[in-house]
Order: sequence, then structure tokens, then C-alpha cells
Amino acid sequence: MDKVLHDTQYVSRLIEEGKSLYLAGDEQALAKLPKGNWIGGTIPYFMAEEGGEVNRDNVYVTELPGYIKNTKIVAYDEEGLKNVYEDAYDNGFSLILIPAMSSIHFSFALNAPDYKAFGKSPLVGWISGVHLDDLGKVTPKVFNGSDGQVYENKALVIHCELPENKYATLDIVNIFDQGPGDKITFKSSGWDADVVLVNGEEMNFAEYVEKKQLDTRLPLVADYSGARINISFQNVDRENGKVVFYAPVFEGMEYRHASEIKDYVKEFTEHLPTDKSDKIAFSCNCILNFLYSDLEGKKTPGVTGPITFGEIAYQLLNQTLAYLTIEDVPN
Amino acid sequence: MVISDQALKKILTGQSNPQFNFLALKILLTRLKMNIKKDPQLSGYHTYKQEIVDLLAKNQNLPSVQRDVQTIMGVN
Repeated sequence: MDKVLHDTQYVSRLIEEGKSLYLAGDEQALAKLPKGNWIGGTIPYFMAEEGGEVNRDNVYVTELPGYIKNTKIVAYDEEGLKNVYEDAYDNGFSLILIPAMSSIHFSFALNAPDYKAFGKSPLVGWISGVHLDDLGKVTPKVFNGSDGQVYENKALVIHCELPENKYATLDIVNIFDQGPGDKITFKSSGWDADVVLVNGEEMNFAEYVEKKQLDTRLPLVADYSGARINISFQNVDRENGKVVFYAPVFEGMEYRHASEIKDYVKEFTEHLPTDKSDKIAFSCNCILNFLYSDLEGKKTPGVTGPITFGEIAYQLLNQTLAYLTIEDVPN
Repeated sequence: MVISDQALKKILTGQSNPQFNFLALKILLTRLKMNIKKDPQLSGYHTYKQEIVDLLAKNQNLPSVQRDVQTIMGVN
């Protein structure tokens, strides 16, 4: 497997050679890089070639393939982000970065499926974060290498155009399944919930979680027409009777608490499509998988990438691997 | 792209639940099905259909989309 984590001098050389890059690194590392055709998000957690790693010095590099015809970097505010799909090239893909805990993060999470031209081309990326020791002290950021701007509340996207003989696809690996337990529905969409319907019966969700002793390391899982989409627990606030999530729950959607996972790496390996791993152009995985499954030092075979505060595959995801593949159009 | 209204209505109302491959289609269908819970008469059907047709047409070169179109056509 090629090396993916590099020191800033090496990355600077790539930028100066005119490479188009999609980067992940600690804020101090990204701040050392020269201007060029790149965007980057802050995070010091990675699945690198040697396994899960925390690294504040080096930068995870996704070098865009040389056959890409065109790229355009766009900084979006909350209002403008609704055009992200329309702005994409007809044949291509778009790589996005959004700073965690910003209003644009919350807005994207709630509204992306309603954006005009949803799904016109693959939109993949991640939510930037910070070292967990720095939570509350340092804000997640995104860096626009083309003009040197650094944002805490804008999304950055590098739209990429592919030649006619290539196509990109986007998919996810989610090892969590809906468990056999209660059906949970929410009365309104949002990032937290107090009163919910459990098998149609109204009750306080924080009390329910406590009474049932739910393992909150396991997400709620919804069935999106065959795709399993997770909502991760952030906090159960028993005092205020509220449960806070890492992604919004949606009104009317049916969720169930996930079944237990015994061995993340084993399950992950079994779920990863083996015919795709050599075609993966970019992937990212969730910091909750990294933490709860103790992935530091462990390898997820064939797959590297930043470990993030949220994954994006058309919309915001939790505890999921998102990956982009680029393949040749069959003759 | 010609898609049968009968097939699409069965999918949107949950009378038929075929397995699809294209992730964006799964997400879009789920959102539309949630809309339909508030619109059981399918008064917005033509808008729903247009969104699906647009998505499939824009991605028609993807093998997963080609398989999904065949799946929709196979719904009776």
C-alpha cells in the first residue's frame, strides 16, 4: 500500500509541482503549506498504511489523479451550499469539507437530501475536527489552499471533472445492523430529542435509554430503502431529559438500536467489497469507530483515510466508512 | 427515460420494496416516502417522479443505476 501520511515539506513540494490535493491534518500542519490547488480539513486521526494513528505533524494526502480534466474549488456559505450538486461537473465527483459544530454543519445535515439536483454526481467528504484533548479550546477548520483562506463556518468543495472514459461511484460500508429491539420514531427532525415514540408509545427518550441500559456506543440505525444509515449518540442528558446526537434524526423515520458488534476489524473486513479496494480513490471513517473499536494500531485492510467527526456520502453519516471509486467505462 | 407510473407508485407507497444498488436513489426514495406519509393521496406525485427520473438520467451511465432502472421496470 502506498504511503499516505507525509511530512509538510513533502506535501509542500507536491503543491509546488502543481498537484491537486485533498488534505487532512492538524491545524498547525496545514497552516505550514503554501498556496496551491488544494483544500484541507483539520483532524489528527487517521487510518494510515500502518493502521490507526494519531499524528499532529503529518498530513494525509489524497492526490487527485492526473487524468482529471478540470477542478474548481468553491467556498460555500450556508445559503450557497444548497447549490453544491448543481455546481458539480456532469461527469465527475465533488470532495467536500465542513467544519464540525458550525451552523453550516448543522444546516447541511438537515437539508442536504433536499438540495436541488441531489445526487447529480457523487458528493463525498467529511466533517473536520480537532484532537479530542483540544475539544472546546480549538475550533475545527477548513483550509482553502487556492487563496489561503481558513474558515470555521464555510464548506469547501473541490469539484472534479472526469474524462469520458472514467466514472465515479460513491458507496458506504456500515457494519451496524438494526437490532431486534423497539421501533423508535421522532416527533420532529433535529439534533436532540426529548419525547419520542417507542413502538408508538410516547415516552421520554433519556429515561428510555437509561431504563433499557442501551449501549450508546452503538448507533440508532434507519433503513433507507436498503441502505443502513446511523445516528450516533453524543450525550444522554438525564437531568434535562434530552438525548443529543451526532447527526439529526428525521421526523417519521423508523430507527432501531444497533445489534452488538464483537470485532470491528473482522466485521469491517467482511463487509468491504473486495472487488473495489484497488479502485478506491478516497475514503474516510468515523472517529467513533476509531475510539469504540480501539482502532489505533489496527489495520482496516486495503482502506486508509482520515478519521473524522462525520462522514459525507451525499448526506451526513455517522459511524460509517464512505468511499469513492473511479473506474473505467466498459467498452 | 420511461418509467411506469404504476411501478413507481408501488415503490413510493411501499407496496413493493425492491432492493436497489445506487446509494443516492436509496436516500432520495426514503425522503420521498417520508413526504408521502404526509401526502397519502400522492398529490405531489409528478414532482416525486421528476426528481427520481432526473437523478437516474443524470447517472444513467453508472452500472448500479442501469441495474436499478431494470429493477423498477420489473415491478408489476
